[in-house]
Amino acid sequence: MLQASHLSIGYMQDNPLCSGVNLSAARGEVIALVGGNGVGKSTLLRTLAAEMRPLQGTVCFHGRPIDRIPRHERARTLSIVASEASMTGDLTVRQLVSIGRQPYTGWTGILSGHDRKIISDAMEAAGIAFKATEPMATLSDGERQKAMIARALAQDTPLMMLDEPLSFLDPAARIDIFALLRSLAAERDKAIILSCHDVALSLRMATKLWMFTSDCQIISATPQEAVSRDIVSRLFSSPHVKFSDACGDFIFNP
Amino acid sequence: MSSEATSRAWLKSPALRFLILALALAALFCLCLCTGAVPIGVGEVVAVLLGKGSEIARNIVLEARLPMTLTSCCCGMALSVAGLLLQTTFRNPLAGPSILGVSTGASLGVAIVMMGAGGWLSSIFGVAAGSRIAIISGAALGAGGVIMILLAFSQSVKSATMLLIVGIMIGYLASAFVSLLNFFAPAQIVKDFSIWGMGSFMGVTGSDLPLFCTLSLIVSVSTLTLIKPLNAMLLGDRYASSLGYNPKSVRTLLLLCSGALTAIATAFCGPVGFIGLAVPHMARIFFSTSHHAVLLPATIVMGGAVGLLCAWMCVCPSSIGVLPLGAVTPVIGVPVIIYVIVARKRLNYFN
Repeated sequence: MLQASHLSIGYMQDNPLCSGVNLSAARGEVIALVGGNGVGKSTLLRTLAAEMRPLQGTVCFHGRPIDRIPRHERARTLSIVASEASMTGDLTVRQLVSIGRQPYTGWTGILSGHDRKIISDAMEAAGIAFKATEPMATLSDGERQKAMIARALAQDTPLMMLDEPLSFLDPAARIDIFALLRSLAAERDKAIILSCHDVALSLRMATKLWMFTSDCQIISATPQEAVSRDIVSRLFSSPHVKFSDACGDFIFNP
Repeated sequence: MSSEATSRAWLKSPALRFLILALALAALFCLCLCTGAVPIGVGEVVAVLLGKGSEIARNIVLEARLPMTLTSCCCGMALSVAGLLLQTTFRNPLAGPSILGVSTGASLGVAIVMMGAGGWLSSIFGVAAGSRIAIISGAALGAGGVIMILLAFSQSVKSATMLLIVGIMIGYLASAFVSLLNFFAPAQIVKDFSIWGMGSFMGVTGSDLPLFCTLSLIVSVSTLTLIKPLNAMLLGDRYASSLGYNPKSVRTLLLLCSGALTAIATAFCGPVGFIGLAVPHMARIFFSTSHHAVLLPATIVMGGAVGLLCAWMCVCPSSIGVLPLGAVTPVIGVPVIIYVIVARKRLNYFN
């Protein structure tokens, strides 16, 4: 569905963060984009979402270059959950989620019965319906993330991208959100891409990993391949950290 | 949710809040028409508005008080909407036309035309029309100029607080130029300008009144077509972009509307501080939402009411004359802002 070919990403033409990237995402997949700080995970997501131009190469959605799709049409193709702070504290969860219907409503923004049904359904699916009338500011971090996911669901797009949705969450909430994304991908046939710092969790929960290695390559693999071909240990260059098959996580290596 | 909370849900319904606000607006409107050096009763005022009443009452109400009342209502509305647009665009609850230097920019524009180009325009269009055109275009150019500078800075200065400080600095620079112009100008013009610079709802009379009311009403009400993009901007640029907007063009449009409203209000009433900053907060607190489908109309009505309240406070001590507007608006605005800052942990929209 989403296909990146010969992609070169970054901010300066003569100094790309990463080049020659070939990646693809299909319906039903939950893809975890993992890698060290500052390697360019966000930049890759922004490029895939057509928020910035690739230095080289193309990103295609069903064979169409994504930056050539008109904005209003792209809004029905791809939804995002960004990590950026916003002034949503005194919107109720329902009001926030209803903003996701904007690409489908007229200039007045008045919601139809169909829109309302989709909004309720999205809150139900994200497990946040019980807070529908509560202001965003009173929610826990995990609940807030669920509300943002419900907003993206209400946008009703085949593709969903989440920029660091698990940061600031405790382990229970991380697993909760990841499980939610898995069930959404499976039940609603969406392609979900998330950037994430928790490699161990991604290995257990994602259907596919895009690994941004310390030598600036992006390798796509299933969790099994990532471990068996020992790609995970190429994520970080520190000699004092190594991946342990036994723990399924990184350990200190003195 | 507790049953007590649900049974009180109707108390929180926006419809009820709008009704209360509309009644307050009507009451303040009447109060403004009744108050002054010559007290006139509500009955008499209603009679005058229906085309009856005594000659003296008619003169006072229709010639002096009604223009001031309408002016204050429209000016409050325009500045409040301008403030809300700035706060949402910059996602900064402490933005406002006077804080960000937009009002000062308008003042500088007016100073330039009053002391320079005004005479030249008057020679073409006649004194009254010439100076009015000059003042409006000066205010529009000044406000627009500051908006453009803010827009340019907002590309490189990402932090909302830093942008606020840039705005304050631009304001200081603009007022420095105003002082410089004053220093070199002849005494009469300096006097005219400083009277205008104190801000007043009394200056809009005759043919200016319908012009001012129409302009400010049309631009304020037409911002209601921007509810959708305003809500999208509330979430941030990335969300706005993913919802199908071009954040840069939306921001430019919102800032131009805000600049136009500030320019209109400043051209006719002089620089009026604090209303644009404080009223959007009062509306957010009263309606407890940031959703613009409620907040924007709420700000329009609340702005009108606060404009009337300021006008009434100016004329209230009728025996000693009319207080300067610049002495009244901070009395209303500053406590609101300080409350917002102190209570920010309890106010949801700060989180």
